[in-house]
Amino acid sequence: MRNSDLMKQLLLKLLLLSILVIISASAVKYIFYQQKEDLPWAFVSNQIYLKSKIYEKKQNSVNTIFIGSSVVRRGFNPEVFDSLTLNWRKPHSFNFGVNWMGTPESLYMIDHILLNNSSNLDYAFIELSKLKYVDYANLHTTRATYWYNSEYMIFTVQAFLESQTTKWFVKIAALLTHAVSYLENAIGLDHWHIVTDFETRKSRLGDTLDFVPANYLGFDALAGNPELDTEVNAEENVQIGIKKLLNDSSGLHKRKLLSAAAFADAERNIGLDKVNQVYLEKLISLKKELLDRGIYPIFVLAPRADKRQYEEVLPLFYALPTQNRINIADSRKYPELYSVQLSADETHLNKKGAARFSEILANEYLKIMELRKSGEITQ
Amino acid sequence: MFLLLLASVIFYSFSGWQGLLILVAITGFNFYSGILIDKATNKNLPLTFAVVVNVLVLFIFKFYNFFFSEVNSLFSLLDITVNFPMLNLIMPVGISYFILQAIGYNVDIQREMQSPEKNFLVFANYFLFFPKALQGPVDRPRLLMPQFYEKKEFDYARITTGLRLIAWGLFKKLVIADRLGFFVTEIYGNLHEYSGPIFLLAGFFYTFQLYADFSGYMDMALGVATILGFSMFRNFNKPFAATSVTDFWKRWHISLSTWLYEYVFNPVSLYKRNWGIWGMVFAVFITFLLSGLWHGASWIFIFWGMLNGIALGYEIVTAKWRKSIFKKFSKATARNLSIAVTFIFTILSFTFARANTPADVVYIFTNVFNFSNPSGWLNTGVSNFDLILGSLGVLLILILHWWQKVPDMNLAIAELPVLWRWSFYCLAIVFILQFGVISGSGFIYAQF
Repeated sequence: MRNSDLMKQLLLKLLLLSILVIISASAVKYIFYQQKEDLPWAFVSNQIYLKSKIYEKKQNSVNTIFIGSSVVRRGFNPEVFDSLTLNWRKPHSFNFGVNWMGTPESLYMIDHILLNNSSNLDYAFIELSKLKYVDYANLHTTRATYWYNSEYMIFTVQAFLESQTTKWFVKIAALLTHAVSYLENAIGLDHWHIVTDFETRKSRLGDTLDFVPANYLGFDALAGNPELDTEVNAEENVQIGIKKLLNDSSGLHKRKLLSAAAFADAERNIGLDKVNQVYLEKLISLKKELLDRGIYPIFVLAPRADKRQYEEVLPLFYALPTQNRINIADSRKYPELYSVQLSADETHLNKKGAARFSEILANEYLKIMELRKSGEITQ
Repeated sequence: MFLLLLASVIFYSFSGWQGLLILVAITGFNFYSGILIDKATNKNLPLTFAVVVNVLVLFIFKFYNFFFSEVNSLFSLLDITVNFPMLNLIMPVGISYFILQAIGYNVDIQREMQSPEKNFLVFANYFLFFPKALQGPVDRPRLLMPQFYEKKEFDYARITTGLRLIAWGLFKKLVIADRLGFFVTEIYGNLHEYSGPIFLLAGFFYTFQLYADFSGYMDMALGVATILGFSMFRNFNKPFAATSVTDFWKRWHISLSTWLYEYVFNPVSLYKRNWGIWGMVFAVFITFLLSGLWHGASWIFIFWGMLNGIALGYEIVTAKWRKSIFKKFSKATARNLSIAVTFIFTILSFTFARANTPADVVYIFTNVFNFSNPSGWLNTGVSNFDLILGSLGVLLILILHWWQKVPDMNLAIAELPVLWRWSFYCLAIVFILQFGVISGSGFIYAQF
């Protein structure tokens, strides 16, 4: 046989072996793991697991929830929000903001917190986020893979292909990294380590969950007990962030200018035609599903976004019904949310900033409620 | 050849362009130093210069901070205000291995065992050859360099052999080493929470973690080199079947041991030949002192090197006496006894080497027989699953090392009927994917 034929034969065999491995590994995973259900949906990190457990405990009383990223985790103070909306109804809010959260992973969170769960929820704030891709540092980590299923994968591929604002090389990188993550989840890569790691973390947490203060509503880190801490080195990180910002606040200033320019453009309808239809349809169907369950969804634009976020999310935001959206990102309207005084770091608010964020959110929410009350909004 | 060099450059560039530039500069320097040594009538002068420059580079990146922080401490003890500044340098990947090869190359030219390479492309390919970038082997130029001139053709059998080696290396690294690493990291990271024989267990596991990690990498490196059509030094030969510490070092990190033998032990023992047997003892001590220092800029490694040097010195001095004692036993008993004694020494020496500070070493060895908290011994937070799987890995390694007539696995697998062979491949890969620790740490020996 010629060398070129041998080479082809080898490549073919390797391909066949890869397919066999994927099928066998997926079969093992399907037969042994999924039936065993040895991992809760929120197992991936202490922060998500703890929040899910605390929320589980409060599920019967919590009627308002905010799902989003660390901007939400450090920005939405349920106590402030509840006190300002007290006259309207008896609110009991919970902050389900989680570090590094964004679409499509947030869809998994929404499925488990809002759609697959019997709850007492009336209102759900959902932070609108750009389509995220798995960056190099997080590739092959459990966080990048744990939530995947075929439905999310199909949505991710379609949404990235549909996106008019994402550059082609970003699209390729995103599709590749998502495909790798999906495949790793499908074949149960590292599964036993993941299970044992979770068991170890859980045994360390043990009964300490009982010591979570009754008034903890998911806002900011649960500092003090290292096992309970929902963010490792929370206080230390805040100090580092503030120090950096005091030395150089040009990044924050740039975000302020970026926001102003993005909303000014939006007012002139510039770029709003680039709506990602796949993403929009997903949001619309999500809205419908939530309403069917008696949960009123409000999509929120949080402050301090980056350029890609504005380019992709603003057209979506304006395509959503007015009564289902709140904008707290506009630096022209809320310049204080871009000030050093209200900052923990370049992208996050400090406690004072969180109070202001929650106050603005409460005011905007009350406006929507008034409209609902007056019958201008039928849904 | 150009493509191969490009692949190596890309590989190094992942750890930063600064490191790559330094390695390219050292490559350029050694290319010309080799030519210069060859042309010089007094070869010792340019050789000394080349060795000094190479050692200086290693010193700056690896030992400067350790050395001058010790000097600063010494001065402060004497109440003298001298403060040498610390350097904030990023060590180029694999520089320790790189420098050893460079010194070996220059010395070989001086000894006329090697002619200087005139083709820079070949030379750069040899030095930067990416399969040996992180952890060696410390190949001799006379063995590897000529292979860059050979025409490489597609060889089906060679490639499948390489792929099997890579899979075996991955198994050792991901399934055995990184799983044992959970226990080892927990114990050594929280020493004062534990006491008693658990330290020996941690040392025992660390020995196998280190072996599986390092030999796993070597198998992968050899596998990649084999696929590309190169043969490299085999760095391990069943080290846990060693019958003496001397024998152990002939089986563990063989490329480094032979390098030290050729370029340190031989010249020193020759220099001290008039001391007789004590000259050899001295040479072996110096060799292992340097070996310890090469492994890491810390007192732990210096002491560890000295410990091995003393053990080898003891073996040289007592060789005749030990031989007469072992004559009293049957051959098999003598062999098994020797293996057991060497094995225990190996574990103790690696228990020592894994400690973070000399104070930790003292703590470990003074508390190893402290039985006051037996319930805490196994309450480490590491799951039983990890312990069982890791232990099975240890057992597998021991069987492969102690089973004298173990068949050549690569050949045995290659000769299986196709259905069995494919089923084995498939199962093995699925096993690695699902039982391996994929999000684990880097390679241990890469830090040396």
